[in-house]
Amino acid sequence: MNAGWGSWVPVPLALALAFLFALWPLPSAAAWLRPAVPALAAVYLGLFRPHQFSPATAWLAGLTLDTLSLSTWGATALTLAAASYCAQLLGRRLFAYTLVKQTLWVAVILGLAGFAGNVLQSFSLTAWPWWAVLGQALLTALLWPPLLYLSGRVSPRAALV
Amino acid sequence: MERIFVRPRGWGIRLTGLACLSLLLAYLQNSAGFAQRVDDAIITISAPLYRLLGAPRQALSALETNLVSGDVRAERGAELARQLLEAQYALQSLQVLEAENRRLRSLLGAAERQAAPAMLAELIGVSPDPARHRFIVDRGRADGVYIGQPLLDAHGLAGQVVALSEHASAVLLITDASFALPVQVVRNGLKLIAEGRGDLESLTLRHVANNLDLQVGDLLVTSGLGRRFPPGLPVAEVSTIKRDPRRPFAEVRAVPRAELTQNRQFLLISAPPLAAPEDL
Repeated sequence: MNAGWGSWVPVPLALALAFLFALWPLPSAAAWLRPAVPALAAVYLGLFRPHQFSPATAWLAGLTLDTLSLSTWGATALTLAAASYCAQLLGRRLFAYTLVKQTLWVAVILGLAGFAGNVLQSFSLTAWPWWAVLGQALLTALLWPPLLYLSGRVSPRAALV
Repeated sequence: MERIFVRPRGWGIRLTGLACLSLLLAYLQNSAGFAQRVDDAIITISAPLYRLLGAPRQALSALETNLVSGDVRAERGAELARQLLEAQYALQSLQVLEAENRRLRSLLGAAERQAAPAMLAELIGVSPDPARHRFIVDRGRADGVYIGQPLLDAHGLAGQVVALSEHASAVLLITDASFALPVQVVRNGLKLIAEGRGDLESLTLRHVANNLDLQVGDLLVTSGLGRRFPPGLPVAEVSTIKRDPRRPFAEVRAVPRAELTQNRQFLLISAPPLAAPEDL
């Protein structure tokens, strides 16, 4: 019973950390360089904990973040739901690739999800320029290998193979 | 045998449903009335969180202030004393001008202008989305803040209150892409519309004819039209003018006077004669 409860802890913990990263105050010049950590968390949880983190859960988490960040409702929600869905669609196929290719796949997922959310941002005239969405996706995808190492999913040697 | 290619069943349709729901929410947020009540509720929820997130920065700032050496403090004190003296001198000249202006207005039979009361407000949070220019300040409904109230810094207009909770309020900055306000050129009284463009460093002036008398360096102040802001608040300074004879309008940019990226202290001013809360 206790083990069952314990297995649920990583999901809210990962989301709380991602939210903290998304809301932490940064200087205005650096704000464009903030990685989309909640979307990365959605990809990670969608891959490793699909039974606990469905696209609907991702959507609700995104809506919470939209509320807290005074953003356009539904924009982050759609981004996280799309990221989680794409991750689940790709599933274990992703692990057949090398770490570099995995990173590129993650960048593609984050880019597609980011563009979907950005469409909604344009409703309140706050859409990001396309290069910023693309840049954020690439920058965030670079965090994929360290995330795998830190979570113990990949040994440091794997990257060299 | 475990499958490698797993397709989440039924989630394609559900994702489409979630996308439609997101679209609906984004639409509802931008429809008046409904959005105001929810925006107020959001500020109530998020203001304590922003206070919490800003606490380490404030603590560091306080520590930095306490750790500066006596020499630096004396230097800063001397600098502040010099600035105060300059401001007092400027105020003396202004008092003479104000008295003269009052006499002239009474001769012309014009209504007397009253100074708007101001309240100090401290910044407690900034929207983390760089495309959305919103501040959260530590004054709310309990302090008498109202929707539409102008926010200024020492140099000019910064924005306008758009959502309220009891002890905090959200301010839409003049640089936000959804913000527009009527302005006037101090030099010749020309009336224009300044719009935010999602860039903290610049505003754009719309529909400026190529032959209009506008120069780089012209100071733009609120015109008072639209009954949102009292007239005469400094807004921006014209920075570039691109005139192309093939186009009907010139492309004009202006730099906001308010230091939006540096200040933490602002003033909320009340302007009852022009903008009563119920009008807004």
